[in-house]
Amino acid sequence: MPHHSTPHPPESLLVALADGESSGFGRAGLLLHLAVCRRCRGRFIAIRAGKRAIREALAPLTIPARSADAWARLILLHTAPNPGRIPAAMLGLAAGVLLLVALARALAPREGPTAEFLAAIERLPTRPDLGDAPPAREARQDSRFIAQLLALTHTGAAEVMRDDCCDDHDGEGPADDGIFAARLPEARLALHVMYDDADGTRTLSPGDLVRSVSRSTVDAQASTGGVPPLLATSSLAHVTLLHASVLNP
Amino acid sequence: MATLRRLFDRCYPALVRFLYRRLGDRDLAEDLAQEAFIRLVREDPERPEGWLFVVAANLARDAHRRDFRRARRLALLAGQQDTVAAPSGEQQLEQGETVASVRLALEALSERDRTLLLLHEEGVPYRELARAIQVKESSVAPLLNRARQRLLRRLRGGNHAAPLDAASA
Repeated sequence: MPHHSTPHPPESLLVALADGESSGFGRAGLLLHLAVCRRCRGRFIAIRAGKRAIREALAPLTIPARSADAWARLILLHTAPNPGRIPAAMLGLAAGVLLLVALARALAPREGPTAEFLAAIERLPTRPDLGDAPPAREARQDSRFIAQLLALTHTGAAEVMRDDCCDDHDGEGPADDGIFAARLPEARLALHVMYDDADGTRTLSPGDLVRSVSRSTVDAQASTGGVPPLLATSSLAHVTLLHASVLNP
Repeated sequence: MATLRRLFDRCYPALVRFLYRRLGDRDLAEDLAQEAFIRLVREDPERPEGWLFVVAANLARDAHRRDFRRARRLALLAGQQDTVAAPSGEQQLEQGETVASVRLALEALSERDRTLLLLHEEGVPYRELARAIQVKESSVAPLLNRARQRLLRRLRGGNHAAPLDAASA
């Protein structure tokens, strides 16, 4: 026979009380009950002891948070993808920086063709007949020349006008023939490369085989809207090419 | 921005602690805490503190599942069906039997028990706990109580340790 008239509260109410989740009359009623019921007081004390034991057990699993770094990253991530939220002053600063970068790039000397590259081009003959172009079996790897040419297009010193790949231009075999044309405005030259797409990238790349290289002057191409006359057709039968033997004598 | 900064200062360390306890990986904990804040900024919830912890709990759950699947794949690849996931750098740094046993005890709990216990340790109120584990608020206290008892049994080294209210018997 209990020594009080109120029923014992369920465990969940005592847990909520220990967790600070009780309020109002419910809390007052529980506290009143605990004041008079030794059994429930013991239950409540055990719940709190369990909470304390867990807190103590978890305490070693703690690391100091690197808040300063995290805040900086958060601000960066927060502002970068959403320009609408960037303050006007920050936008102005960003615009200024971009302008300075653009100016610096415009004023900086561009990386042009190397002396070696230009000398090699200078030695190229111009416009021989197709019959002078080497057969496919004599195509050779000249990755250094191709890499130099492609590097120039990246720096802006050369402009790619056309890269036709791939077709059986020479009628000798598989459709792996490519024709590449680039203009070097400062040298007033255009280069035309016939290659075999050896690495299958379907564009001129250092892994390809060079069959021939020719040059022409920029002025000669102006009348055709930038497309060199000798590349006006993709058929090699109508294209005049040179064997770039001077590049690898 | 000042409000966000105050919220960050107040909640970020607790978020990282929660996630670290949950996942055992400091870098991942910090990444996920940051992700929770990014989502907070995007969504601007009404009660940001509780919201942050609910999102962090969801992110931790997803990360844990990914980690579990990755560990299982690695174990299969290594031909070790019963391999436990290799300890991370953080875990290797955790010296001492106590820390290891606490981590083992936590890992032995269910996903829901772990989330409840660890979130509540960070002061997340019942209402948000209910959201985090998708139950009614009135169910949180009994679930939390049972989770505590299970963890204590694990910590005391067995499945038949005395219940919490043994003192009242």
